[in-house]
Amino acid sequence: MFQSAIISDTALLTAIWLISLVLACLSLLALIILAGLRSLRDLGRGREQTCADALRNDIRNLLTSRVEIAPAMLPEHDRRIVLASIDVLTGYFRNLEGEARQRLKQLLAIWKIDPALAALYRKSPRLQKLRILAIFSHLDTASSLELVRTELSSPDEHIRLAALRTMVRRDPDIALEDLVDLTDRSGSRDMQLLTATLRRQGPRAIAALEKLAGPGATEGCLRSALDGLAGIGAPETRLDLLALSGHASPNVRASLALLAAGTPTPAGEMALQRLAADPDPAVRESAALAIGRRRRADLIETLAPLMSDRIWPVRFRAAQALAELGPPGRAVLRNLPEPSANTSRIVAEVLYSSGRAT
Amino acid sequence: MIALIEVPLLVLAWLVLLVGLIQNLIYTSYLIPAWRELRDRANAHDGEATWQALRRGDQPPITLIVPAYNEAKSIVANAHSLLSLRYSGFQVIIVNDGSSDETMARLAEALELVAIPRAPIPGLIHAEIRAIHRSEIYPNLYVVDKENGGKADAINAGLACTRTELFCVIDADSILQPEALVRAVQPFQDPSENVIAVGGTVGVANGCLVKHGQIDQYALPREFIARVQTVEYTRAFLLARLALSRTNTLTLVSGAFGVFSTRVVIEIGGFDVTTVGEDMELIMRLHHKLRQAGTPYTMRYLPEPVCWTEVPSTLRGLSRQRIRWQRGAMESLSRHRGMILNPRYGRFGLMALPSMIVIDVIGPVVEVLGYVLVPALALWGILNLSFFVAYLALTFGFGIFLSMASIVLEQGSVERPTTARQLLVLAWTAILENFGYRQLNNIWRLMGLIRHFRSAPSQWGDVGRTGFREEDAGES
Repeated sequence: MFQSAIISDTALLTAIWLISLVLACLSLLALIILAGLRSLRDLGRGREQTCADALRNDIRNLLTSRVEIAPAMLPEHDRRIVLASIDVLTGYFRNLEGEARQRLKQLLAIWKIDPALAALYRKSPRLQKLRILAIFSHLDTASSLELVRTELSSPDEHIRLAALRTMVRRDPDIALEDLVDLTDRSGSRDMQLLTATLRRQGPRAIAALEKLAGPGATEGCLRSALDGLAGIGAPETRLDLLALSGHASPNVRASLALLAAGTPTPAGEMALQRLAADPDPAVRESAALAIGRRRRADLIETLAPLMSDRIWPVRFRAAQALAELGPPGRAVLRNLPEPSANTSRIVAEVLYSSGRAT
Repeated sequence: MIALIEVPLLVLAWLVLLVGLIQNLIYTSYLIPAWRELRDRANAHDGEATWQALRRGDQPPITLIVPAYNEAKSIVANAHSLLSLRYSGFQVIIVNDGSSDETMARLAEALELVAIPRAPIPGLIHAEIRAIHRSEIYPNLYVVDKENGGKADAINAGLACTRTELFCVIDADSILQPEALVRAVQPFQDPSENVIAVGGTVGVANGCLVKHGQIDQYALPREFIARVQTVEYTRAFLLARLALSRTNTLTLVSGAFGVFSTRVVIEIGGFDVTTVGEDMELIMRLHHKLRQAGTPYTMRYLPEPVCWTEVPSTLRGLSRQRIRWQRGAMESLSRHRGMILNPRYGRFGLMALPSMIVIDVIGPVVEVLGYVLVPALALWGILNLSFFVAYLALTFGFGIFLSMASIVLEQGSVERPTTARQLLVLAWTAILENFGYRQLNNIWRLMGLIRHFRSAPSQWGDVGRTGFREEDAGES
């Protein structure tokens, strides 16, 4: 027995030093390989950088000139140019506005960069695909639109939602409500990007956002949709605001406040009053904030009791909202019945900040 | 008689080996979740979200709280650097923590401060606020002038004057990457999660070239002491924190750069002013209170947002910092010991805290004991050669493996401006770290432990920073 214990000890010790040394050597090797790859990458980047600089120069020259000529380097010449163009074009589309952006689009049409990008797209990893789709959202060519359409049925949700965003941006006549059916209403980051894109479409996106907020939506999706609707302003929303004001999640109720404040209907008003008396302080805070932001002077009566709320941030937001409501709100602030020392300081701060200290 | 001494020593030696093995296994187990997290993030098209956020300009308003104590030399330059951040709608609150130098006078002169009425949020412990000022030049810059009370006290005073739903604590001498804040607030905008705290990577700025308050050229520190901390920071952030973040069991959001939900932190009473590890204590208290209340929450660590900081480059400064960190960790652990192995606190109580005890409490004791015991017993002939070799391989081989693995993980997944040569220098440093530096570090940690148990008063020590390498020395 003693002998077997010694053997097992030896086996354990041997395993320990063997595994430790093997792992150390392997990791060192991995790092050396990484360093080798890094130097190759830096070398490649140098070449790519040269292409990118040349491309930037061409774009700059062509944007300032009136002559429509092809640049010295055409995309089909070299894969490196296409790769470099992704970075360059992303940067330009991010920063150019109006006429300059339109001119860049025309130039790209002359250069016929989209077939080169589309060819690269098929062999690209997801991140690169997403970046190419973002560039495609700025182009007007039929071939790029075709590729985006194909990706609407992609099994990868990230790609599908990116394609959706591209479609929304490119086709002003597209039925947004139908597109919403292609999402899984997960409330993911990409889903939020989609609601943000929809929001930029203005009132025509209201029906789509209402559909997103409909039955089956996750909490995240519901909140994104409510934020989107509040951002656009949907005074005649078909959503049942009163029912939503009783939603189990305080986060949803808080998101609802701004939409309800922008809905001057009895249901909107009742929902807002309910939110202002919500047991969750964050919801009461949102309600106060929303009344101020939407300048709902008719709801002063709803705000006044919040000035004696036991939670400091609620009192502060209510004071801010009252100050934003103009003379009637500020009159309420100045004539608070027996305010505590801290509430008085809040009033002083809020009146000072609104530039109306007396 | 000799056997009577030998047996306990042998048991002790085996204990040293086993604890070392457990420690290394814990670290190795972090590798998989850390790699998964990095892989998922690489696929998440984060760049698009960041760009859209910048373009839309609808980031949630945020307040940067900057506690400052005797920072007269650099405070104005640091304020300007913070004001140049790429973020729409942020406020900066510099808290002058009763500085005895000219910090307040310099701020007042350069920023044209005027006193304003502001109601501090009640319920937060901080020393008396003398006055609250706002800059006439930068309407989003405020200065809270208060009596001296320490870092946590200063943060609380700043927090009491915060009016935004998020706040970020940043050291006065740190440099934020321009897009760091936009990236750091993104998890808070995710409506599917109740994110309450986000920590970002803290990078070592010693050796980097600073231009107009930003890192212009990345370089490794010239001094070995500072360079080895680059490896340490990579291991701590890219391995441990990333893995803990994936399982929502983060034990620390660095005090040098962390973004928090104002409401939640105020609700739990702000930062604890009685500990030197206020950042770790806050995170543990957040876990404690929210799990007790059954509130779902998420704390995240993001590898991309980078806050550059100058690390101590002298042994004296480093020893003070490490002793303080150890004491901070011990204070936080002892205050929240009720969570340890308590199923009510889920994975945090059952896994994260016990791992922390093995690594931070038992680890330094056993490792220092091993440095003395194992060679002595091997010389005495009580331990055989294979034990000695296994001990050395476990201590140094695994140490090298973990450092290399975290560097490979970081460099392979996160965009960093490291060149091939710098990578090789880092690899060499990761090997050298195990011979001398590691032992010293464990001795300092042990000293921190001893001081904690002897209840010596906690204090902030000067860690001997020398200032960033500026392109134009006149700018600082």
